Amino acid sequence: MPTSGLKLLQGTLDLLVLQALQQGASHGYAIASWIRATTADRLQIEDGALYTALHRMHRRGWLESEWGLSETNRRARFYTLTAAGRSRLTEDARTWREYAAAVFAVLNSGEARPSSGSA
Amino acid sequence: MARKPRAGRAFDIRNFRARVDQDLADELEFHFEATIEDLVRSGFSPEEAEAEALRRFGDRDRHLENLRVAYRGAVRRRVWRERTIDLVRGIALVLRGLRRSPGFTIAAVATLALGIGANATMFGIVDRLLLRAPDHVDRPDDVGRVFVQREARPGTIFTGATHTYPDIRDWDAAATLAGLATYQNWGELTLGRGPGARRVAATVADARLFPVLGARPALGRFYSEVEDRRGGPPVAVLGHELWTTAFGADREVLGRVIELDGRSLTVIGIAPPGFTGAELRRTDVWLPLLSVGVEISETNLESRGDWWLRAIVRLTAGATRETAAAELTTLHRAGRAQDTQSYDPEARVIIAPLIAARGPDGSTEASVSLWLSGVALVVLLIACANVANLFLARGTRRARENAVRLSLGAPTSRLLGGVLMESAVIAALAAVAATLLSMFAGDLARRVLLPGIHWTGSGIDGRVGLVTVAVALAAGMLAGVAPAWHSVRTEVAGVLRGADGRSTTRRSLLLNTLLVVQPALSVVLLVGAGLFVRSLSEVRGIDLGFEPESLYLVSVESDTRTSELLERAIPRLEGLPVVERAAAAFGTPFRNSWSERFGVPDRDSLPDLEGGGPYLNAVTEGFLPTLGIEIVAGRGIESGDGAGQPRVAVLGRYLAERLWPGESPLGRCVTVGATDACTTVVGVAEDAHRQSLIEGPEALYYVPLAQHRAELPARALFVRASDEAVDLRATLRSELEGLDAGVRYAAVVPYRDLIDPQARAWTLGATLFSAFGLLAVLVAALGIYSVLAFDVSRRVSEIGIRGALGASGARIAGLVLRDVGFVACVGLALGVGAALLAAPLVEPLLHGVSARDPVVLATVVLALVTVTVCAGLVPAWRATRVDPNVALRAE
Repeated sequence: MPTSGLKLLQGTLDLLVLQALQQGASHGYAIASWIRATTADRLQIEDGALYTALHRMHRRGWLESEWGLSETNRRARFYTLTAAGRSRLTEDARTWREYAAAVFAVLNSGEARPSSGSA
Repeated sequence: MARKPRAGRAFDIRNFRARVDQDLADELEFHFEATIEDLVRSGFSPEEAEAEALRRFGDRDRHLENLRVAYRGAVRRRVWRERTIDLVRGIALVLRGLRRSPGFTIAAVATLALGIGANATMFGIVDRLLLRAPDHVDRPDDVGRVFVQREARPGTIFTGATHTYPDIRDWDAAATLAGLATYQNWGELTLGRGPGARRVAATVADARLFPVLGARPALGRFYSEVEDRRGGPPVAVLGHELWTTAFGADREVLGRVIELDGRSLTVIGIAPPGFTGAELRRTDVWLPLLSVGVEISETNLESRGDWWLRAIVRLTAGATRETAAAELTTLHRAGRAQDTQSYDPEARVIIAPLIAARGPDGSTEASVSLWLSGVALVVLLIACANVANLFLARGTRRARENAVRLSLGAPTSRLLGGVLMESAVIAALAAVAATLLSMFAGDLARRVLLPGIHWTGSGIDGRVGLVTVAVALAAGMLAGVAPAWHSVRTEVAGVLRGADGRSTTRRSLLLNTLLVVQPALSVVLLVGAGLFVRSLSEVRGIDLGFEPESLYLVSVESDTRTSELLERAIPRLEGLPVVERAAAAFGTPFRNSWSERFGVPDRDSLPDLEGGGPYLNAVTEGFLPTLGIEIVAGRGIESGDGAGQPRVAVLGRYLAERLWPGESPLGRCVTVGATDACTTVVGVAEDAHRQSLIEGPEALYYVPLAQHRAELPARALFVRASDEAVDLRATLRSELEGLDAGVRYAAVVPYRDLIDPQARAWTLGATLFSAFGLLAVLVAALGIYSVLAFDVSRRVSEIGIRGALGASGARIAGLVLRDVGFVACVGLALGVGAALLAAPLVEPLLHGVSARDPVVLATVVLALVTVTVCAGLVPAWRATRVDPNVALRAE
């Protein structure tokens, strides 16, 4: 249980939530737990922010919600991806991968600085 | 993926809103419980777990606020979506229903479309004439037109729109004015020369007109005081339309020299599209008042007896029309202080709104247009009544369906909404049709009926569109409300017991009211149409004293002496087989007239002459016969009345009778012009109208042109065609332009074109009242027919029983007709009453016919009775064909 983690880059939370929902319908707590487990708790995500993201994406029509019963047989709100949410996820994921690959490429280009001018 | 809307259950907004925050609370409660449970399971104490759950949640206040915002947004989104779905479903449902009854749909849409279209068109006209300031005027409320009210003759108060130049300059000192400009319509001038020449509408205006109105040129610049002064460089500003049509919107036209009436002018600017200055008339060329108006003499500018210029002012921020008018009045009286003898010392300045129709010289066209808007509204009311009828008839047919739905617990609001939705859809369809209608028919109507106005663009602009939509909405509601109300008031038990609603024999009070209103409104409109048609025929039948049919007026512009040219043209024109007679004259009836010093030897003063004068015209010997002015005594002007011969004159009948009542004027002496020499009266001619269709007798006399060439040269030719059917315009133009190389342009105008514009108000009234009246009758007849036809179908069983009991066909037809006959009679009586009541209002717009004209009233009533009976005959005939067997089996 770390007391602090990595701060999230802008817009990352939406992507994480969308990815969490790719497996199927899930309620807020399950999404939070999944992200926590998957990232080994390295990201600092406030649960409040997570719910805000859920509702914001719901308003935008990326998610749909429905009340159902949780694993513990309690009433919980389940979110699912809409078609718009799914295509959003694909797009954002691709952007992220390209972005990360580019950043990695720079970081992995050896300890030496790039020599200037040579091709 | 789109969810299917839950069938049968409309989205309940109120319920949903109440649930919103509860939903959110439930969701978070689950979250905290689940978190704490998991934490406790992994070894936290309950207290620690709760603290950890709160810590993980983060800044509670901030997140909760964000959540609420996001949540409400989601709700709004959902509400809109559900509403849209409901609406689309409703519309789809209505459209399906309408497709099933195309007859009803077409009748309802067409009826409303005609009503709405008529209103849109009339609004377009009234908007232009009465509501909207001329285009391109900045803050038009601060601009006013100047009038002077004075006692012109004892007992006659005259409100003048034109002013003398010195009077206008008196107002320059006014502190309440931010600007003062003056202008005048300069008629038509000739642009270019020869066959390519064209006539253009010119306005002379001082340089301040543009800044006072706040207009900006589309290209180049307007002229300034540098050009607008005596001897300033000759420049012109072109109207946008002329620039587009004659110069192909070429930007290089700036700086080019054009020829206008033989003068060279440099184009320095193009006015913005649709710019008409302070008037609504089209202006093709704007000319500086002081430099280019070469016909404007020093006398014109110095005389306080030459009222020829219009004036507009822009008020300063603090001033009102009243305070400015008071200041101008003071300045005006001070400027006129010297001539209190001849000038009314009580003369008063009035500042009227810029919109001309609202000022003291508002045109008859404007008030007729306003009347016609009222008429259009009445047509729309009839249309609404009729559509309501159609809805009602349809609603009764669906009474059983509604009753079943109500008894099964459908809320009344649902049924109400359905009916209103149906009328809204009909209204929307009608609005589309009406827009198309007024785009084509309306555009044509306003150009034909009000050609004096510079109409720009199509008949549909934003304002007209807005009004169309508003009118359509109102009409839809109006037509839909009564049936909707009716549908929910349906007595469930009664309808169900009546098995199919066919047994109900009584029409509702509402339906009867509508049936009464339609003929009543039709009567009012048709009476209006009849009165205007009679006025128009009276006006057309006025004996002008001359015969304008197949008469042409020819004026010529040339570099050589025009008067000589005109006189030279007479024998040449008379040589043409298509020409019966030709003549030249100084003055032109209906265009201009002239008065000279006139006296009778040994008399100090002339008797009072109605209409002023006397007015003279110098004419060639062919003038009176060419125009068809009869000689009632003595002789006319003859070729022998040459320059060296004794001076002679032919008096008009009115002048002769005023001068020598009961005696023959022949051989008497009068003096004409500066000389006191005797001019002998040799004949008396029938009175001819001087300038208006409607005028009292005017004092006129004619002198030989040959004896007055110096001061009264020939200015126009008058040509009578030998065959009425042949249009001489092209022939005469080429003939005159071929006469002399100096001729720049020959303008040929059929004489009717000079006179007809004066009858325009009546033409407008007669045409549109008739059109609307016929429309109303058509709609009313349709209404009566549809209601009766429906009645018959509803009363089939009753009619069947009567038939089975031996009632004759005539009796049954009578049964159906009697009913509608009564309703129609009440309607006609109401209509006649309303027409009589409205009579004093319309009286001032008529000519030669009383607003309570019995012939018109009787004709209209007779026509409507006929129409009603005809509309009733088909259903009545159908009633007689009812087979008792079939009818009773249905019960």
